[in-house]
Amino acid sequence: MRIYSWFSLATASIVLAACAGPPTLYQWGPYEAQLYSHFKSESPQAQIDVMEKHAKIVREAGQSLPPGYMAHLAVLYGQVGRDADQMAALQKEKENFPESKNYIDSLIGQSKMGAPDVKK
Amino acid sequence: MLKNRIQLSMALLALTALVGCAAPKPKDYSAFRAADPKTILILPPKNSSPDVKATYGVYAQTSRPVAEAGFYVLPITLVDEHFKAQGMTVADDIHAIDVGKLREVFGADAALYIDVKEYGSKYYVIGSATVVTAEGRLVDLRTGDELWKGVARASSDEQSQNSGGIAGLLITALVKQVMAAALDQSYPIAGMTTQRLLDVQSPGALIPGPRHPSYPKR
Repeated sequence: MRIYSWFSLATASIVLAACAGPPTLYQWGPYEAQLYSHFKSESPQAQIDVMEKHAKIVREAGQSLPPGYMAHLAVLYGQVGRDADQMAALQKEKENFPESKNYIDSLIGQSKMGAPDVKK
Repeated sequence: MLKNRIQLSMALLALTALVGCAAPKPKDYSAFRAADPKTILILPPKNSSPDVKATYGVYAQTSRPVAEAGFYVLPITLVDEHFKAQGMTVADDIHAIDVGKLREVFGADAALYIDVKEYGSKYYVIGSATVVTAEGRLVDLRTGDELWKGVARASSDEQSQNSGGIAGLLITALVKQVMAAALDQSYPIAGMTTQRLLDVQSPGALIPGPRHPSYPKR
């Protein structure tokens, strides 16, 4: 009876571990849901709270936030007038993803000069 | 006895041949590999479905599979805001922008163009299902070459069970329809679609990018 229970537990653990899937490159947490909320024009402050909370957990665990996460937080900060935090978040995005440097720098430049026209 | 076994073997052979013919040709990823994009600009999707929620329901769920494939994905809310600030709210117009211009403005190596073909309830003789179908194309912004294209579909009735006869089916169908509308059921189905379309583990989808552990060392 005891061997049977042990076996069931072992099997269950293996199945659960397999179902959990391979480890992901990034910790997504609430990010996708927040993107959708943003597109539905839901409260920026509520989104900031959720995004900041997850960012803290991920930082403390020494893991990685997804591409665009800090940049999206920057968008939210901009919406509530936290300009210094917006700048800091954009810098963080560049730091986490050096490939983003040119794009982020152009955005920072734009906020002083106006966005480049895609229509021309 | 022998006759039955021969018949069985013939049947199996015929089945194998049919399955063999039905198997899709493996995609040619040579252009994709040669182009080796590191950064991808996902443009707001075109919506060819009757549901206005399709655009953002799909858009919100594209970053993840592309980022997990190992590419830097330009932040989609920033990209979206950028176009809006220019007064470009129609995806068809956005998709028509010259690739050189996109490269100049966003600096990405490639752009992902998505077209949502189906989003929401499909009505059958008895019952309905929530279906999301999306097509995608990856275009090199440096050359204008198409690097990849794909299509994927997901439906809420993939795992449904039939029970309770005709009356049961009709009631279930009505309940499903009402719930689907109330609960924005298309959204989770759209997540399955974008996964199938783009996830590196999905057959015919994207191949690993620079940040992915399977990206071949060069």
